[in-house]
Amino acid sequence: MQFDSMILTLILPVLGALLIGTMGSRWGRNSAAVVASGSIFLSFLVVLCNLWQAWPNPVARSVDLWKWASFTLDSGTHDIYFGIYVDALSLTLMAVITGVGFLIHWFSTEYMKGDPGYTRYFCYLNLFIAAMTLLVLANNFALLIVGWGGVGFASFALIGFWREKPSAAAAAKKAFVMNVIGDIGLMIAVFVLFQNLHTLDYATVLHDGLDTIRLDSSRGQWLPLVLLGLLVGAYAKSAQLPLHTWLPDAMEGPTPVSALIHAATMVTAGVYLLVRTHPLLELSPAFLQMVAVLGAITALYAAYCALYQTDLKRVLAYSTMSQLGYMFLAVGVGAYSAAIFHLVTHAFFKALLFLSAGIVIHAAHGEQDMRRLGGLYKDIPYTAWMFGIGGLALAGMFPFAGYFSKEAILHAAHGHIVLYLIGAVVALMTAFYTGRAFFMTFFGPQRVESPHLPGGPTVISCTILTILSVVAGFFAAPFARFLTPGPEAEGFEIHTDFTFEGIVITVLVAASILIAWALYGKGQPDKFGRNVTHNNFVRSGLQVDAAYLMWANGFRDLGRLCAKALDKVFTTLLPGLVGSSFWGMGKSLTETQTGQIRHYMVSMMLSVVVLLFYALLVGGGSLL
Amino acid sequence: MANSPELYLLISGLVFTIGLVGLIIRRNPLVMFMSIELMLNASNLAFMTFSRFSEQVPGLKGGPSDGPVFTFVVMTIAAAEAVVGLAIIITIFRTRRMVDVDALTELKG
Repeated sequence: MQFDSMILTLILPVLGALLIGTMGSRWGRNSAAVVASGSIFLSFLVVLCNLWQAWPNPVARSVDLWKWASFTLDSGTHDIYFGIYVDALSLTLMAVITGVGFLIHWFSTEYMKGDPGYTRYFCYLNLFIAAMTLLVLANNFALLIVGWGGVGFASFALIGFWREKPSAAAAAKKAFVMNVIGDIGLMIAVFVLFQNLHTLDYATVLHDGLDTIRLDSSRGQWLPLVLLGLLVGAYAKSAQLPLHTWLPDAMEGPTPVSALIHAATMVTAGVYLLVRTHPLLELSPAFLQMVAVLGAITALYAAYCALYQTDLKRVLAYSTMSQLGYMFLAVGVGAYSAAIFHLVTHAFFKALLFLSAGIVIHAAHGEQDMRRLGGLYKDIPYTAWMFGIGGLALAGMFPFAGYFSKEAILHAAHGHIVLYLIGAVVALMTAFYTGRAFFMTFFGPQRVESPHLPGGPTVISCTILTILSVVAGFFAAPFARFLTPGPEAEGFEIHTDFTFEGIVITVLVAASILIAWALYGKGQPDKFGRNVTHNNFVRSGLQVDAAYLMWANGFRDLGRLCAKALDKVFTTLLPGLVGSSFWGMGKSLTETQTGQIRHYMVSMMLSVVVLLFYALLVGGGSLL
Repeated sequence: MANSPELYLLISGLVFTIGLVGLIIRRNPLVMFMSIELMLNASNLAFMTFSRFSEQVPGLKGGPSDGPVFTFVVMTIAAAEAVVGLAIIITIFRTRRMVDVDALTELKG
């Protein structure tokens, strides 16, 4: 067994979760918070050291720790190892997970103060980081599934953290079910892959094994299944159409959870998966095209729904979905660095937006409806500034981080004019709804009485994220170089030049924000509130939920029908028939019991005669 | 004739049939008992015949001493059975003042 320092990033959160889970209630709340944040901070330091070593020319390394499972097939015995894969991609993701993860842990130490489930919360949060680390660091698909399922569980536990709330419990269940659909897709993909390649190792499958797949004449029969399974997994985890319905409901969880899991890290696992497996995806250009188109549609759909939301957190949830659509679009057009770069910047500014939204919600004593917020700039101006900067980054305003990553994606989509136009329109919609949320929350008349003011850790962690949201964009070029796996690799260059289109889009984005200012800057009533029917239709996410419910109700009705009709046959009629037939048989047999000795005598004699004849004629003199 | 089993077996079968017919057609339990005695003794006769001529009957598995053993067993059982049966009949007569077998159908199903 080799030792690799990156293993520590896996051990530390696991240890933290175990310690808090077992000892948390004895040690007290402060110790739990310190252990949770400390373990994540230590793993962040480990990641930083590894990044420092790897910069600027990372060498991918795959470290097998121990043999995990062994399968004997016709072709021989195949081992699966518990091992980690460290390259530029996983280091980048790990930096985001532990870095943003630590900030959110720190934020939570104050934000969750006063919650009775304080230690439980930190146990789950560490568990999530551990599962996410496993997902990113796994060096084979089998281990990936473990991490994949682990984050699904942690997400379930944290969405339903306030388990006494029925809506939170329902949202957790919904998220879990949707994620399990993705898990099944991923599992099918991995099984088929193993069946055909006899290995699940990244290094083999994604590099050396590619030629085997190319030469395999029967690959048309199984490769589509693998790709489809991977896509289903990625779509469910990253809330892409049509498996997206769980994400808006996931906002029932505590706000830092939304920031960590449902904006910065877990929902981007799908993007990570596709970028990780991009050599496989490139074998089928049609699939890549589908990813691009579905990504664009999701981006458009989610942006449209975000326009109509009244709940501050749901605006951010839909915008997350929309930005994830951008990332999938980038993967689909083969711009992997752009996708990962947008993932990173999005993690910064969306975490910032969620955390400052958390401060707002605390300030407003739990009120999330933007129509009842307003004028909060006067109470918490610093938070308003941070939210504003996050919003500008999300809107893609120069010189904030979002501008560079979004511009890189749009530039990569140049070849597909429809996708490019959709991306541009979504960018404008993003600017508008972000401005709308900002102005509705912080401007206009003050509607919140005696707001709760944020404390030290929350403000400091938000400040760090604000700085990152501002400066991250300028590191696009070195980041792309860092991420490029080899000189011949394609899709890893990032466009950073200033172009005319960039200027046009920036101006249009600014115009969209100004329109939002004009419409909402003074606390005017919601312009999207006039046509109530249409309004509610869009606000509910175009009734996709209702459509699914209709589909599910079909099965429920089928079940009811079965319960009514078939159950009656199988539990009442058939057993009754069996019973009554035996009853009738017995009844008719009692007729032979006449009570007359004479009759018994005769039947005995006749039986003896019959047996004798049988013995003499058939049995050859013996009854046996 | 006296040295072959046929006559003895013929008499045995005749007596058995008389006993059987008597058992089936008579209504008086005492007579039915007597018929049963006839059947038992007919079988005794058959046992003794086969025992006596065991060397002459081809394929017979028993030896000359098996017949008397079975006969004694049958006689013992017949005595015991007569005791129990008569006791039952007397009890029935005491309670019902009649012993017509055809009228005794309490065990009808």
